[in-house]
Amino acid sequence: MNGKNIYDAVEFVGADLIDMAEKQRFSKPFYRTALQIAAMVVVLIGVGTVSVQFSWEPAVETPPAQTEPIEERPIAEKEEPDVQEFITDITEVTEEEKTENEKKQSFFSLFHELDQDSFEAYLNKNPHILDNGWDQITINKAGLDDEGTDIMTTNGDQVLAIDVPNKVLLIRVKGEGYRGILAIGKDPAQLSLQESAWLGTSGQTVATIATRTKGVLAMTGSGFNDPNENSNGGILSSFAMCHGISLGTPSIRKGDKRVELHENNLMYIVDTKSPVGEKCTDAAEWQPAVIIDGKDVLGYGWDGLQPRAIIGQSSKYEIMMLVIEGRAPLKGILGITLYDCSDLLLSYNCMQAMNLDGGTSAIMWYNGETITNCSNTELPDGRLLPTAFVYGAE
Amino acid sequence: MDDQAIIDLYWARAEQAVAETEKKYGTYCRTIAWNILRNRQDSEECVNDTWMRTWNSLPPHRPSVFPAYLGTITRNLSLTLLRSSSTKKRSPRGLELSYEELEEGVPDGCSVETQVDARELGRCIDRFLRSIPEKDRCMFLRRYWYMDTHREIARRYHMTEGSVKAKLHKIRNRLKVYLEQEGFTE
Repeated sequence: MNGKNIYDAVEFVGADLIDMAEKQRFSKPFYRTALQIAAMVVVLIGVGTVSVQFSWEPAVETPPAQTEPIEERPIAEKEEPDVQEFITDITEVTEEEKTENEKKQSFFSLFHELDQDSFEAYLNKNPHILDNGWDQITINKAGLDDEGTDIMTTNGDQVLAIDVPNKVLLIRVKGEGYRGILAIGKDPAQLSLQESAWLGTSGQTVATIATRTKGVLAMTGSGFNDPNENSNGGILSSFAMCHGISLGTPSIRKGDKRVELHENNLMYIVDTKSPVGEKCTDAAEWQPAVIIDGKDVLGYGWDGLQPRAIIGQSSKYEIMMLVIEGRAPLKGILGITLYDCSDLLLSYNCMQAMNLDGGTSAIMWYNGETITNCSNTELPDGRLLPTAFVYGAE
Repeated sequence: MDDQAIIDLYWARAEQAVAETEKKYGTYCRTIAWNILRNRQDSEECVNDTWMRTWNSLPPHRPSVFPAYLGTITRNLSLTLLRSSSTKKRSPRGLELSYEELEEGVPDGCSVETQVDARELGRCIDRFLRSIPEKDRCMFLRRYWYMDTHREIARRYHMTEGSVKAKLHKIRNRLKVYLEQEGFTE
């Protein structure tokens, strides 16, 4: 008998055990959670206010020593699915004249994440949202003072906004110790990286960049040089590409990755040492890669509770923007581990995802207002950044 | 849709059953296939074959734990494909390593020649796994049933890779002793 025999024999292990091994999650050892809380309390006591102490804390965790390199698998590159065809379908669906029933079907097809029963119940309570038809539905309860809608996703999360004209869905994601927003932009062609108008001299807030470029939805972009932890976000810490123009120099920091948006509207995550793709139009660098080709590729050590910012793309090529609030222990909001971010994104069929500069930089803006709380309460619109990912920019 | 409803669709010969299975367990089966094959095209092929086998086997079967049933089919198909001549050349090193690891858990002179023997050995391993702590059991199955890497297991159970390797080594040694006690030696 050899190891292979055991492999074959393991097949006959009870199905209940197999199922348990898939579902069972053991909690983090108590001492590690206790250490994190203790560290936070020490900081809190030492400084007196939460916001000031945390405002310039770098969000970057020291990358773990990796015994095996993360395998780069931009498999989409090999298969080249016809994304344009997919997008055209969406456009045609909303432009063609259809019966009301067909439009309704198109709506649920585009916003497939929605739980249909809860949406229809909401519609019964608020019939006016259909005044302009299914293809003009606009619900926005995503403001910081709003409480969201009663509409749920099929995953059981609360819906904050549905914007059919701009093809945007905002979902409240929350759990023990964290709160944030997952934004899903249905048309990947609308995403771009936009730079600060004063890049090289000063950064701008995500809100300012998004307003200037007439975007609909925006979030944190590139990291920046912050030698004394009080910079103005004007100097890129690594390479970036905005609408085809290269900026900065590629990062040499171990573990850094580059997220590239290509002309075919596909997102690729590659090592920063790799040459920039010929068809790349927009790119930002940070670390780590979270999901590649639908598989979690995180190594060990990303379990700090932090505010997070992640950009990704789903199996339907939708753009996924995740921002999680944190560092507000008095409100019970600490942040989230990257592992939990990964699980969350995978539950919405994410195929590619990369972590961006989180911490105080993690912020999301939609339709004229900032919709997540910055971890520094003195910066309601977040800090000054060199670039921002903007959806729907002109 | 819950598992029972999906199984009922299979019994009613409704093609929607396959779509619902793909929707609910597509990622799960793809992960199992990927862990073994490390090749997207082959993994996709195995998952599609899994749907076909499930369609052909329900009815008469009515699995009590549907995901494990699907996972077992995917795992078998993936291992078969891996061992076929066309894929042998690109057999992932990770799988060979885990074969080698399991050699440690095999008593000297023990032989398993037939499917019946394998089934008996499987039952014995089942009894062994039920006798050890739950976390150890899950770690063993993640490594040798789901073929997770040490890093993936470390991440899942909030451990370091070194601890995972050490723990699995201890479990294999205990398995070896258990198999010897159960008579799996010449």
